Amino acid sequence: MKVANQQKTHLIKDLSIGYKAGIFGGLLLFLVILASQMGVLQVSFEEMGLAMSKSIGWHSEELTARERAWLNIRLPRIALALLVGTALACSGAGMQAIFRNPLVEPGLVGVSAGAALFAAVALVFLQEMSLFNDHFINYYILPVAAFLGGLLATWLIYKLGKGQSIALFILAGVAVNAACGALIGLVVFHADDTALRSFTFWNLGDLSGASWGALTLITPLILISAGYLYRQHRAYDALAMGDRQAFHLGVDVEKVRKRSIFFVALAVGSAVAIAGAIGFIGLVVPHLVRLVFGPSHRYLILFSALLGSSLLLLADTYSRTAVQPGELPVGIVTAMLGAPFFIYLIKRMKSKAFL
Amino acid sequence: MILEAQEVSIKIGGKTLLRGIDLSIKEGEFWTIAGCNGAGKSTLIRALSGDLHPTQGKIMLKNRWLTELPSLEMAQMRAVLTQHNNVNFSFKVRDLITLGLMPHGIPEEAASDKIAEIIVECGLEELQDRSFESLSGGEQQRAHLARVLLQVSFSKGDPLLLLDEPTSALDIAQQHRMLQLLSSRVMNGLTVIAIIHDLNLAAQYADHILFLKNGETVAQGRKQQMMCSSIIEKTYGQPVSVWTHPTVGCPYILAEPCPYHHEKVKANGHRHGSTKPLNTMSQPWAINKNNPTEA
Repeated sequence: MKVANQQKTHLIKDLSIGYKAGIFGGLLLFLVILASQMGVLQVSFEEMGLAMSKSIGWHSEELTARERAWLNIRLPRIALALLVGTALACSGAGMQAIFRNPLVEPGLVGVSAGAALFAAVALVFLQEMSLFNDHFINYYILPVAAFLGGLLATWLIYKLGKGQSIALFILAGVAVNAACGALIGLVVFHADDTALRSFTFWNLGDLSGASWGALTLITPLILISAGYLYRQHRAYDALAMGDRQAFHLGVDVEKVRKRSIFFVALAVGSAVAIAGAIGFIGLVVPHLVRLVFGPSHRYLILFSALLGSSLLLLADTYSRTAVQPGELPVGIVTAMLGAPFFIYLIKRMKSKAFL
Repeated sequence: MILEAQEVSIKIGGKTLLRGIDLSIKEGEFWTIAGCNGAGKSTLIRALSGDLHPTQGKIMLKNRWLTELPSLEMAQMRAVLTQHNNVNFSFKVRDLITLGLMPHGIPEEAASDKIAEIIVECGLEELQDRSFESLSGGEQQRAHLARVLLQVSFSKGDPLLLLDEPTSALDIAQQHRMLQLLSSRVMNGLTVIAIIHDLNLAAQYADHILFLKNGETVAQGRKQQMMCSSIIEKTYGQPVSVWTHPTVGCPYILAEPCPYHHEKVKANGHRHGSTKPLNTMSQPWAINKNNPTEA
């Protein structure tokens, strides 16, 4: 059994890059079709085609309620899963590259903790003051607050940890994350039941807030960030040898690191603002891609985007369909998938170290 | 003049690491920097490679101030191998070597002949598809050497290579193989500045030597003038005698027991109850010392 398994992974490994890309691309396409059909609203291919042609204007008939629900709820949700998956996985790969540490995840720069803190404050105190209605807070104020909080925490960590050593930065990250955690605890302690419930759901990650309006806001931010991370793939390869060797290969290390952190904060901040804090995608996906495509960052960042979106879409489809008509927060699903895989990775590293 | 240092001093945290180093290196020279541990050799290489800015003095690379050169342009003019090089994530040896093309913006396919040539020259044919972390220390060092050789072979203008202990992990055969490779490149116009601890290797392959002690220059110049026992003793505090290599004809250095070693021998001798007089222990070397061969 074990031998057969190993042969299987080698089979995938030995394929040319084109075939591998084809397999991963096909997987994503399959998942997108699956996700658009499955759920509380079951949609057939004919209905999908009809709804799309109506929305483009090929058919003059009015959209039915079912079609409208599919177009305005299901589709943006799938698009959001793809975007958030891309943002988290690419950011994870980029962070692991600039910190030369395979255990780093995007949350290290404090963007998730900062976003969570501001989201908690917005939810608890604004709801208490009842200046706005709950819908307005959940859909407009919460994303903006989360985004600002994420950027602010990242900036703080960057200022604190700027210097020669990466350890300093990681320590600054730990400190700011801890401070945010304490403050969140304080806010949560103060919260009433409704606010507490909203915050808990947000903190577990939830893609149900998807809408075309939200997508038009975050799509450019995430795509620009992912594009920047991809463009730096050579610099990341050089950084694997350490700052000094990268410098001698012509990389402006400080500039690349600073900008990478900025774009990671931008991408993850946008993702967190709409979808809440979704764990493990940023940590696990780059490792999976490295297993198949090797450590070269050119493929790592490209296929992290592909696999990250596939995985998050799979997790979200599961969370929509598992406990119908209810819904699991997607963060629970990703953590349940990610944690055992991470344990497997640790065991694999252990056995490799003794080889 | 490819590289020129004027009165370079470096102070870090109140400690002076280098003081008043003057150096001028011409195209096609093979320089060795030597000196005891902590003498400032690596600091000097770091300063010459633009990694560490001098607190005083200036360094010019091809008539341009080093502080004003952007890192990419510098990487196109020279390659540097630092002392400790661990590589994160399991990169293949070939991928690592190919990184040498990075500053020149040349795609791998366009340089495949050159890459293959360097892999053969460094004896890495069978290792090229292994992951870097699975190699032994000496193999890793050769892989990094191959990378910097690739980087420097696409340099604009006269190429320059700075190496911090490039042979420290190699066995005797590989040491000579790599240094022969370097000196054949020097024949073709490469300039090399390398820290080499083994003075006999330096004497065989380099043409210029700089001796450092406590961050200051003891002596510098052509190896024929530098390889004399007084300079080496002044640098290391270690008595040596200089001979001529029987076949190659270059200077050859033999270390002699210094007073510190005598004390140790004496202590050991007493502990084991030996009655042998200490003087006879150093007799063979004492005879050698009376045979001056430096002429």
